[in-house]
Amino acid sequence: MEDKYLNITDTDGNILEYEIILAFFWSKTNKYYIVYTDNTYENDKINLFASIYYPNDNTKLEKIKTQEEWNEIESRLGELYE
Amino acid sequence: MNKLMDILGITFYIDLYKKKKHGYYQLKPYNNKKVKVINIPPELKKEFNAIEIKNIINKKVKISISEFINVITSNFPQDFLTNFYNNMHEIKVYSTNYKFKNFIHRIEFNGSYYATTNIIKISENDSQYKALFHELFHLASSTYKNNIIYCGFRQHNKVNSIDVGVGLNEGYTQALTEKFFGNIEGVKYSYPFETFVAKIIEEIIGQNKMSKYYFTSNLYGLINELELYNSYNNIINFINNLDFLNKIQTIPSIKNLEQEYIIKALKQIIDFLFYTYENKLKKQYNKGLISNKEYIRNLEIFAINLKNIFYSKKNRYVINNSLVFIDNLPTLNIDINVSSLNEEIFLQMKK
Repeated sequence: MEDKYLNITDTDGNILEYEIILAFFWSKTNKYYIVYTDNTYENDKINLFASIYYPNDNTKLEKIKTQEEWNEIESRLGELYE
Repeated sequence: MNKLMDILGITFYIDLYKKKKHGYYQLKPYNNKKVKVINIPPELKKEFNAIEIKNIINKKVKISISEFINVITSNFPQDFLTNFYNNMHEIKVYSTNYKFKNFIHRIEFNGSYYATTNIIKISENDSQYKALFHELFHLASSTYKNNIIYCGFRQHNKVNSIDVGVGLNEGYTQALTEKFFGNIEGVKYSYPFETFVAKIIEEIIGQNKMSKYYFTSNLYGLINELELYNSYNNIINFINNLDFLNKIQTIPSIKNLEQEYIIKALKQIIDFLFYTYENKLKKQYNKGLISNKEYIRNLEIFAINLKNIFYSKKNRYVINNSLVFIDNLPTLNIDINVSSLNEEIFLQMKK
């Protein structure tokens, strides 16, 4: 399978490329979540980022707001390497 | 005491590994405040439930599932098959990309079964669904109660992460897969050492009991059965050591400890299998079911068949052994020869 990338263009015109690890819709919050990485490491751990995104709005990438949402993301990530 | 320390050493390493596995990544919020435009793949612009999976129940999968149902229902008694009927009722099969999982474990995954959701995932690289039959056996032997997954001989507590019996479970699952679907190209040779061990356990306790405990997810039933021929502690050590050898394939690096722990685990397993079988023969002899000659002949054949090979990521461990009778008591001398997988072996191919 080809890699799936998330490209973010910032206000300075830089294009930042992230590899998508996981994306899912959670019916409990009615929101779309995306987990992605820039493939950088910190203390031997790969950096993963998580955000809320909107399928039909390419200008919004929101922060995760609640611990319950973080827990759900952790749980879905866990399933990937269970 | 030394033996106990050896086992504790291995258990400690497995715990360390678990912590390490869960600590492989750090998940954080994205803090770039200058985001202007986001470009996402087209499939993320539509409504979906999970990008990592895509429903692929196609004709090939349906044929394979029908074949599996025929094999199971015609080869095993109905009272073994409660889990099978419960799970087969709402089976879901998806194709998936194991890229992240392969990255985490550093090995290639072909399929997986999720007992909590009753979902089988097959790698999208496996276009012929060769891994499907192995995963269907997991499905047919699994149940999920009170946060514990009972999958064949494996018990996995989702709350405290205690996970036992995975090595024996994968071995017997593969043994059944090869027995009934081994004629299909590409189905053989997963979990070779675990399969070899599981077949010997089946030989010791009998096919009917082994499959009964497997399909009814009854690890304790199997342990009770083995207790007829060996001690509870030895059985638990055997199960733990086989788990260790199964998990070591996915441990990134244990450097100089690897060889020492693997040899100890292999020796305990071979030793356990031999003396469990020997005790079974002894019971048969004491009951007058076999003669002295049969006892010795069966034991010698069994010892010869215990020769095997185990592959870690770096080395091959060739298990050799010899049987001697000291004061009429059988003693198995186990010799393990280790060589690096990096050593070149030249094959002379006939043209």
